[in-house]
Amino acid sequence: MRSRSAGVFLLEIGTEEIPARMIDGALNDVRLALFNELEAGRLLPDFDFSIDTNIETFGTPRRLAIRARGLRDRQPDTVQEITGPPVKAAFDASGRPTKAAEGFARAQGVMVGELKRFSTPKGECVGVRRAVPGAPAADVLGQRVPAAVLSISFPKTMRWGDGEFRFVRPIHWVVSLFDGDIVDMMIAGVRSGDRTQSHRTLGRTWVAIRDSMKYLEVLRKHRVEADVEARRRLIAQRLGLAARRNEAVLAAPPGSSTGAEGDPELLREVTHTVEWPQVIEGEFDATFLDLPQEILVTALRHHQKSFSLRRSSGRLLNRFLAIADMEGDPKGAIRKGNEWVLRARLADARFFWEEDRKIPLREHAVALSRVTFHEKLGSYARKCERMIGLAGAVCEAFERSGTKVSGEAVEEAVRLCKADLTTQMVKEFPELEGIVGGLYARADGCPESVAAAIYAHDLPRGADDPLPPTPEGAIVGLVDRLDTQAGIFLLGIVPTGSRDPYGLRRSVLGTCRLLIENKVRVSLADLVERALAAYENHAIEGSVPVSQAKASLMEFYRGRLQFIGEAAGLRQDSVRAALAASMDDPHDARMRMAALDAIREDDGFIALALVHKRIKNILKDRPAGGYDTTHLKEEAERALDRGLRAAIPAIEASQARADHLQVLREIARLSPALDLFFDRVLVMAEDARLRENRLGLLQALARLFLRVGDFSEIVVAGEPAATPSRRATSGSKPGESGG
Amino acid sequence: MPLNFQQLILALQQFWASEGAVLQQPYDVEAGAGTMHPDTFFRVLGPEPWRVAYCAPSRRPADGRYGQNPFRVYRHYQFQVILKPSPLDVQDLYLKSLSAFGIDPREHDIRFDEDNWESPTLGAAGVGWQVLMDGMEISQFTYFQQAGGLELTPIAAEITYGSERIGMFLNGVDNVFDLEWAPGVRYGDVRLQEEVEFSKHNFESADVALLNRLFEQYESEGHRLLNLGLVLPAYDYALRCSHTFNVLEARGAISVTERTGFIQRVRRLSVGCAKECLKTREALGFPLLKKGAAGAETGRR
Repeated sequence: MRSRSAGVFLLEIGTEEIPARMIDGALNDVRLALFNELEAGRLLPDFDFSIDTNIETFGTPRRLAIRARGLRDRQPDTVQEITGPPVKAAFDASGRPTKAAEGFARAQGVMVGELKRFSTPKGECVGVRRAVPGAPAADVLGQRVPAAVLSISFPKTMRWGDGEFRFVRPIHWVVSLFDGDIVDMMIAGVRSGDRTQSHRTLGRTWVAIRDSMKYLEVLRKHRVEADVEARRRLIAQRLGLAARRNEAVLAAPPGSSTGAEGDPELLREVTHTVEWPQVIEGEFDATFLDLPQEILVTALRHHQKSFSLRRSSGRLLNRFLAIADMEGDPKGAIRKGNEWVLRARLADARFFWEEDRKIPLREHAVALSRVTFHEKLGSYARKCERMIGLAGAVCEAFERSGTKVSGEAVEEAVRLCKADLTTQMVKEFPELEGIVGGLYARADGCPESVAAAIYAHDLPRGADDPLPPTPEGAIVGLVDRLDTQAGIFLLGIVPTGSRDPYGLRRSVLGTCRLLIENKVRVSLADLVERALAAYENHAIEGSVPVSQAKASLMEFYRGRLQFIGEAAGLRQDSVRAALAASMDDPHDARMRMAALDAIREDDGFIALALVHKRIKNILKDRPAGGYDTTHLKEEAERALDRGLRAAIPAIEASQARADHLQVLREIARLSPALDLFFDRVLVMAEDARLRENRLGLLQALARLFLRVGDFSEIVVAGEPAATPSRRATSGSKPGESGG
Repeated sequence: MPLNFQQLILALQQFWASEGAVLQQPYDVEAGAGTMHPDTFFRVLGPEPWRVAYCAPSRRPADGRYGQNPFRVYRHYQFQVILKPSPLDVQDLYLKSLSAFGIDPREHDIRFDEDNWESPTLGAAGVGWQVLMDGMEISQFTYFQQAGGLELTPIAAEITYGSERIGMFLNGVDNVFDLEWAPGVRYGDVRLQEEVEFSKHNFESADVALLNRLFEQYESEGHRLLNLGLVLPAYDYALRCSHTFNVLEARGAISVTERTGFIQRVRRLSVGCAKECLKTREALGFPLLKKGAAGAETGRR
């Protein structure tokens, strides 16, 4: 049976339940792999095909599906050229065909007179041209698609039954249709067909797919919503309704910004655990509301994947929303079951809360000497000692930057910040590391500044997370991260590509955000050196030299700072120019990036970038030197010198106010004088004294430029080797300040 | 009337016996999981087909709560099923087994939630799920990939039912000790004293020096027997080592760094047993391959 839709390929792999965390990645992989196979198999049309709009993916725990539209129904025909003997050998002196030519023609099944002449690298040859008809799409797909499916990279795969095949979970069926006809193929021992399976428990049956364009509709009739986004929206909508019914909102997970609503991460996860979602509303004993909210919300979301409800005032309700893969709950069995389990979970949480607090956090900290931070880097107790050593310098940096800090509170918080690792609560809910310590410290009667610092020191965990609200918290977070980074880099471990076992990208991004957003002026190199030096007395097996660790860690920081600038919508080369001048003070570098990106809109700045390139070329490999005003001969060079000296006080004043945009404007004012200089003055004069003096003048200028950025990094339109100067995310404001 | 505890066990035995499983009995050496029963650990190795079901007491000293926690006990009963090779309809069989004790999958929210399993002391690992019913874990479902440090072919499916959990759920009781075991007899009547005494023993009174000595002796005896080719007796000593280690750990007598060492030592012994056992079966010509033993027909639907 043929459908009206043209060039549509549908593939569905039916499996046992795929882990929720793997589904998005698998769908991405299969989309790319199919696109590549379609391209290699020459089934893509010449126009109007895009991987994003023509290829759709669908998925549930029990199926991965992909649909491509607008494909050719067969490969285009091609022309094959078969070369025979050289012309010289094919014809004799009188131009008659030789035996060689006749033999070749016979072998090709043509008359000698039909032989064509082709020029080849070996000279002119006779040959034939033959039309090769393209293969039908179904044949091409049947050959190429199985490999594309098996190429999906899952974090963990398995074998089953006779153990012959490997996939994320056993495969049960394959639907494979091109324009309504079955495309025959075998995937992991399963032959393709046109039948899919409906929901596992809601009227389970085999359903034939006739029209690939109706795939989603047919499954919906059988209680499967296969469109991931539609399923997510449906859940969100039902959760919202249930929340409103309770005059409440969905609570955010601990560590979110104050006032945040909802739990997008949990929503994404539960979307991938159901085919036909339903929200179940339940209740728990109000006495559990005595537990800290952070613990309640986590107990609900961690094990039960349930959403908590809170009033707009922030107060939690003793109600929860769970997602079931069902339709209706007429006997209330699902609600009762969830309530029953939750009771056990909350009883456990209360048990941990009470048991852990039988001794103060300070005593929990004693056990840190027996908790391994890293097998080669020793215990958490030693880590805390190193952190205390490092904290002084960071506190000073905060103070220097105008932020009052209680050094005592920082030291106490560092001493206690890892103690919660020994508690039962954190063993049960590792995501509450820090938060639990903060809660226990508060319950112990520690000063609030200490408790708050412990509570928030693990923030930010993700790019959108809030920062610790107090400077003490930020400092504990900084020394914690710096110490980990130093230790891991000393082991010679540098994150590459997808391999980042210690989460160092996130860690370094965290350090940068803590410094930048707290507006702290520091020398990063100095902090990194101190962090590395703290490991001095450790005999670390297999460590690299400190200098190497420092160099690679600093280079790693450069990459993260570049990422931060670009993520804020700044042009790649503006960011590079700012970092090339200096990256030692991330806050300062972040402001310079923004200023550089903003001034590019001004007339004349691009000329300055070109001048900087020119100066750099002239100065290449020359030793630094000064210049003597009295030896300036030409008016143009004297004018430039006057301009330069007049500009310096204004530039320094602007710099002191950290107004980098103004610094750049002052520099840009030198443009006319510079133009005149290059127009009138020969730098490489024959007179050595004049030459050295002029070079010295240019060096002074280059030093001035480098206060903000290496302008020569700016890519100027029309230049050879220009790289795209705007990132795809050009929508954001290039002038956004770094503060 | 919902099934009481012993009726639940009986229903599971009945169901799996009708699916061609050998009904085995619990093993009489202390173990932390049903997987350690020789009829699982050794039978999942090699090419021979095998289906077995049994109820196994699992001793986990650190889980003891002096009989005061309504959900946790030091010793619980796992109902364990091995299906080798794993049939393609193993999930369906499992769902069918729920009906055997009165759960209609159409009235509940049943989910297969990723949960991979690993036993470092057995050199074993598998891929699978915890089965959740209405949010509660009622079973573990594992496709064994390795055991005794060996890659497995064919693959066995292991289903482990949490008997107490299911029983409590069926009967709507909030405290395991209130669960009816047999008419007029509660779980607590049968087991409470044991929970109290063993919690005291494991956490407070176990003789650390003695247990350390025993561990050494069990270990060396295990290796000695293994060298004599006495695999099953050697394995008993591996189990004793494992349990002794668990008690020492509950007693707080093992530091984090020492822990890895202990696990390695048990593993060396159990991996040795697995390799030796496979050799023995091979020398016998893998007898169950020929016999078409229990459940040998594969992939039936």
